[in-house]
Amino acid sequence: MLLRVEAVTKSFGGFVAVRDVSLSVERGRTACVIGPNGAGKSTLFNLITGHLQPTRGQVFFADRDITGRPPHTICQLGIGRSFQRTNIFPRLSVFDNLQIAVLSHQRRTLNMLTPARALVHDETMALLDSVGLAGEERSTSGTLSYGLQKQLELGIALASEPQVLLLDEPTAGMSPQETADTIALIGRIVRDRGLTLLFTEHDMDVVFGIAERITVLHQGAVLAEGTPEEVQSNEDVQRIYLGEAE
Amino acid sequence: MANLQGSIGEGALAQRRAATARDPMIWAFVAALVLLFWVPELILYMGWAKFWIQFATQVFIWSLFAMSFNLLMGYAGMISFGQAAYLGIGGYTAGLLLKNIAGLSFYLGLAAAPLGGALAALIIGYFCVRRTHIYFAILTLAFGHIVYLIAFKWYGFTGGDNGVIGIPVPGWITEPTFANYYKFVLVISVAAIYLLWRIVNSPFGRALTAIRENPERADFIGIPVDRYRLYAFVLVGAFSGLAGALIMVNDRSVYPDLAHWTQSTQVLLMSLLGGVYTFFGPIVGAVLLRTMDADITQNYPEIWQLFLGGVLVLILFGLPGGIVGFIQERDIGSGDDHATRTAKLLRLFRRKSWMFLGGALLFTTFFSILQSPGAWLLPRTRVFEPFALATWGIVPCALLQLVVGAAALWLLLRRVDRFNRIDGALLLILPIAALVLHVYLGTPLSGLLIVLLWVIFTVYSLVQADFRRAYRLGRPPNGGG
Repeated sequence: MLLRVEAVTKSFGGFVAVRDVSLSVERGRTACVIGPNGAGKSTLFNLITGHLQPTRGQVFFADRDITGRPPHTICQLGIGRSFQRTNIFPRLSVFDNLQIAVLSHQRRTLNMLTPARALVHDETMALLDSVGLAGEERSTSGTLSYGLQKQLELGIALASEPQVLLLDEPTAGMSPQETADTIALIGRIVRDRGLTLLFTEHDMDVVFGIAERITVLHQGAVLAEGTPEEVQSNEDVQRIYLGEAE
Repeated sequence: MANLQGSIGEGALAQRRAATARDPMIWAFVAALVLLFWVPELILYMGWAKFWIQFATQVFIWSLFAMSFNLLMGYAGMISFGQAAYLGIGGYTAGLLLKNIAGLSFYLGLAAAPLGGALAALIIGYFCVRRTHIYFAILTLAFGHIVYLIAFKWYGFTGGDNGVIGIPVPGWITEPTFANYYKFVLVISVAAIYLLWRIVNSPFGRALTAIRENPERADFIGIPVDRYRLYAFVLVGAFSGLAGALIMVNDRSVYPDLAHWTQSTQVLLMSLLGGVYTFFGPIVGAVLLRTMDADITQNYPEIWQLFLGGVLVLILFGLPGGIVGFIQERDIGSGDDHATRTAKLLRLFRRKSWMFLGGALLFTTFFSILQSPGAWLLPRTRVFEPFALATWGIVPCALLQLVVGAAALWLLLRRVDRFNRIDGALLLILPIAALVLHVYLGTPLSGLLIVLLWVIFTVYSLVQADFRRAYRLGRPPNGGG
């Protein structure tokens, strides 16, 4: 198991956002967390990446306890993520967005004297190409279309050469065409790089199209877990989730 | 054609990459150093007042202080209201060491100033960087005031409000024309500013920009945000300390005023006026503020605050990016071809030129009002002389400037799209008229300032890649594509 979440609980005051959730993803597999709004998907992601501290429970990455580590350490260990609300450096150019991520991954950001302009140029351009942003390197990233910003964010996450990629609703707010393109892009990248992917998603076509394991969250707790077929045929899931969605 | 352009682009890129380690800007700094080095001789030779040497020295020190401040505000997005504390600590560190340790080398004492500033910034910053935005600002203000009070009240150590006086400084620096002090400050400031330039353009500088733009994301590309904020704070503390020591050298004394919060607001204003998101903006801000200070405070101390407030309101509403931000602002999409880009640049250049004229008119009219308040139509005391502008009265004088300035600008701007080099040169020397006028009005510095800003503006605009190409071709780009 590359990523293992063991019985984590997160409560905010009296409200329990995530209750006793366990989850594990094998190396090279694609897993998905689904659940209605407020089920605790984003909170779970934030617990894994160190943005929130679990009240109880532990998170392991490659059999190493990473519970409570700060986000920058977790990122350096090999977990990349995108956020639900697009999270880029809006006033920097596309090139600069990716370049700083590459520089940070190579631990070169404490260099205070070398001009950064032409550093890691080739790595950055290769990354730019791989997320389909060739030709946009000089655009101000905040002015890009929503879909391109999501692609850029994916590029930023990939800059740290992660083993696990966590994508929080990668197609949220996209048109059907953009959704299809994005999913194709993610699929290609995951395949090419041999990545382990954990994502949340509300579009069921996407979920059942690419996920190998699905975990269903409901009101902060795991309702069901298994292959797409198992989940689809689970009565609880049909009742509270798939049924509601129809 | 596209392939050709592509390959040319890649060739240039390869060259750029080969030059990674080199930084061409160093030549600009060296040139500035060499040019400015002989200014005192020029001033003395021309028989101008020695005041200008001191004035220029002040501008250098404040530029250094303001630019280091802008590393925090503009690049790292940390607005500190307490930077004067490190200015003061630098001054006191060098001053107290030199005064109390007999035989201490002057240069060692001076070198201790940035260390003192950095150490203080490390201790204070350790607490401050844990908070962001207004909480960070208030914390720095509070700590800054504590520093001021320590300097002001601790008679046994700092001399309290009597300050530290009689600090030993080598004789050669304090020779009476101030020329040596000027050169001493010039060399140190230019070197320090160049160091700042390297820092903001280094990977570390990029990391700070990333933190400013989006701390959450910066954290999750592996940058330890709080620690980097602290590094920036300490660095800036060191540069501020150095600036403080430079001030101490001239006065041969240090007073608590150096650490007073009003000094902190000065650098804040300089950065805002000049342009927060630009490297050289704070220099323009420092020149501007010092100039206005020299022109107005000396002659009309009672309205200085009013004037400063007015200018600030105008800048914040009219030019939110500051003056350099205004000059650099452009709106070019990545998909635009050469002709579209040139057309956009032309439109922008014309619009900015008119705004510039408006700003300059406002500025000069303001000075006319100061010169002879109430003399709206005719001068009150002096006799009207058609060839002495100062006797014209405010409204006719402003109208004349408006008509002549607008006519000249209109003629030249109309022809700008023909990319004739002579027109370009004429545009460049246009503000000499403004300078002459200001000499008449008795405010030559403001006139010089207008000339300087205009030259920066036109040169910056006309050397844009697309314009440069058009000028080389000597014709508009529409045909060439």
